[in-house]
Amino acid sequence: MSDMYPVPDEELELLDAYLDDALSDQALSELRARLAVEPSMMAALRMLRDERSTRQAFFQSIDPTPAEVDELVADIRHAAARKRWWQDRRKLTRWASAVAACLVMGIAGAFVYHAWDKTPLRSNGDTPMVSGNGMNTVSARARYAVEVTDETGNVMAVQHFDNESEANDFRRDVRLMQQRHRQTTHGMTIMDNDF
Amino acid sequence: MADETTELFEKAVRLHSRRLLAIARAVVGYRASAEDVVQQAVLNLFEHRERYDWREPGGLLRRAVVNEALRILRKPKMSVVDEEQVPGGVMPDAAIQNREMITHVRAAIAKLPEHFRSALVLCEYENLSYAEIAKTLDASVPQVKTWIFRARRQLAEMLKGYYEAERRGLRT
Repeated sequence: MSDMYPVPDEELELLDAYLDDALSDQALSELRARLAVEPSMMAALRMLRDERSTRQAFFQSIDPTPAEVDELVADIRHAAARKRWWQDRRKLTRWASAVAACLVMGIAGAFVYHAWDKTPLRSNGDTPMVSGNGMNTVSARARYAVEVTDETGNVMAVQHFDNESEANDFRRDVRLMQQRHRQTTHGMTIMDNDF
Repeated sequence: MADETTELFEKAVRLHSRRLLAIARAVVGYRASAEDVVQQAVLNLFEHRERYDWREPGGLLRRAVVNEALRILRKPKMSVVDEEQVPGGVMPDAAIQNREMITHVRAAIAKLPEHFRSALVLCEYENLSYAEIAKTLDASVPQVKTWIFRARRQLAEMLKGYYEAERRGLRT
């Protein structure tokens, strides 16, 4: 490519750097001295300057007009405003989602707690327990439950009551029934007030 | 804080749009809309505007536009902007000969590899130093020097016939 120019590529690079104002002070003074005595370097410099001026004409031609710039700025402002609006909405949506998630978790937590609260407390040490043969009466905070157990103590059923007297009545009835069942099973006859 | 950033952003856009648009035009040529390139680049920055320092936004904006232009050029499918639609066709005080010459140069510059073209534009249009160009294009200074050197030599080769004709015309 350097056959176009009267100097080799290295010298062209040096001249380009000179035109780009990228030479150190020392390199600049050395080049100026060479340009004064080397016609080939001077000729190459003139060629590079000519080429550069044609490129500059091109760069001037692509310089936008004020109207074009105004239009672009207006477009960017409009698009930026739109983007900001969406960003704000997204931020709001994120907040709303977070609040909704907290609410859902709170409600779910309350539901689970409430459901747990309703379950009979069988062997909780804090809970007063009324027990008898074959069954236990458990007092929870608001309700009473009577557990019906078999002879080995396994719970077969749980009956809930709203007050203690009902629970005790049920317990007594079940106990009587179980006594009769045992008597029948073992072939024993016990004279009782009930007969 | 957010409003201050937006204000600085708008000020930066007003201040730098002209040069950004010219850079985009030089880099993408006929192959995309320079306005779209600038707008997309600037909006990308706006989306994360809190991250940047908008007091000295020249380098940031320039880098964004060049990168966006290069990204667009790398896309496999691109709509070619018609030559008549290319802005900058209006040249005040420009003679027909001058317009013809500009058409030649524009066509030649459009044929350069993207990085050569970007480096050349930043050097000769933006008058940036090699170090600033290297920073903008995320390259080393020697690499930038090579790109600019090759860009100039390739342009000279492509415009050789035009230059020779011009010189012959000047001599006769």
